[in-house]
Amino acid sequence: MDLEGFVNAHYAQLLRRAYLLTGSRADAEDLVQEALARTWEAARGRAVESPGAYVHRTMVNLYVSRWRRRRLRREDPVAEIPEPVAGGARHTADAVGEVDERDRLWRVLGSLPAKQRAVLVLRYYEDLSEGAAADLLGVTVGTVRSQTWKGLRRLEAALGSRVEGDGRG
Amino acid sequence: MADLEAQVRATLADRAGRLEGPLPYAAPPALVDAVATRAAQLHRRRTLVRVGGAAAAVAVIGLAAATLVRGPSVAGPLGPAGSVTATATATRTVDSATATATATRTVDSGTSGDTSAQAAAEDRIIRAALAADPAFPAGWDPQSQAVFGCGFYRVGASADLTYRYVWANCSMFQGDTVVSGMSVPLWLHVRGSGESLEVLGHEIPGDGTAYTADVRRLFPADLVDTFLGAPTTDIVRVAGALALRDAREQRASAAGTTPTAAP
Repeated sequence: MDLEGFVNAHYAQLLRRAYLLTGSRADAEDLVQEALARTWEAARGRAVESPGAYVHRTMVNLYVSRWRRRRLRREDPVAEIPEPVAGGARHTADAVGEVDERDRLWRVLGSLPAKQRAVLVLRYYEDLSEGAAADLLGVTVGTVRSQTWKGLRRLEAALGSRVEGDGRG
Repeated sequence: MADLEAQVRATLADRAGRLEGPLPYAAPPALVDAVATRAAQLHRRRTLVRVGGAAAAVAVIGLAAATLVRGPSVAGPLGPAGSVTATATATRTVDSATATATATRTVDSGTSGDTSAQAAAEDRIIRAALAADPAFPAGWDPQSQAVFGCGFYRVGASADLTYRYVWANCSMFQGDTVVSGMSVPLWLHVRGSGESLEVLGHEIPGDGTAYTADVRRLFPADLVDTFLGAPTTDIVRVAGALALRDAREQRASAAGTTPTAAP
């Protein structure tokens, strides 16, 4: 596959994932570009088994290492202010409240340490098992479990949610 | 917790969906070029790191051997006005020089054809040019009896060798002790090579907030990270060891002897 085909094959999916990790469109684009470049460079002169998985792994690990200290995130652009949900429910108090809640949760997600956020994205957006997430991050299943737990606890504390059970399983 | 997990799923899905507008989201045309450029940069840097790593390995081996002979080193950081004892040994210095010569040949392969003798001649000429610059330690205390020694770690050069990019350690040595010195990236504009090298101009990055911007201005993009990251690599230590060797060789030459290895 040539570079253009490789980029186009993975860009959109990577960008969505990167956006969930970084919380910023600009940072996401930087992250995707770097991950694609590293994967392409790594594939120079040798076969990379499953380049899609490779670039995904590269991107997540780049994020964890590079964004680890960037806790003060850039604000999202105005265009990304939450919009009301579609349909007749848009004016109901419940629907507006739901949007507010998601917006708050999104902001709190952005305040989590990189590894916790990465684990939550892998587990709850990509629906990876604990084992698959651990493999992708190069950590143990126990680490994925503990980071998930810590991340959820922090979200809960920030949102004031009620916890049912400890969720350690 | 299940509620919270559901909330997290919904929030992430909601946010991911916002990146999908009414038009299919394809990679911007410029991205392919940007990825290709960045991949090429990474490839060149990997080559440089491999070369630098080999140089560092040789230097470390030399240092270990020297430590066995002389005991542990207590070398410290080099500051512009500090007084630091340079304890690099002759063994380390010689090995570092070999490593640097190897690195230089490899980095410049196909464009230079440098030999160690040519590199040594060029080093002397560059040192003389810097000695005349009051920004360098030789000008800080012109009455000093200390020896002005310089070590240059060649990081790269323009294709026509008109511009050279090196890490320079230029220090005033009393014995093996550094009484003042600087360890900096150095941009050189030159003509010729070897014994006929002529330094047309040189520049070092400014201090403080100017430093990073100046490094980016002076050096090619693919070398910027190398220079900005150099203080954490063996490039700086090798340049320091070469400076010490240079000072020893100057003293030996003045005394009509040859520089000796570690006692």
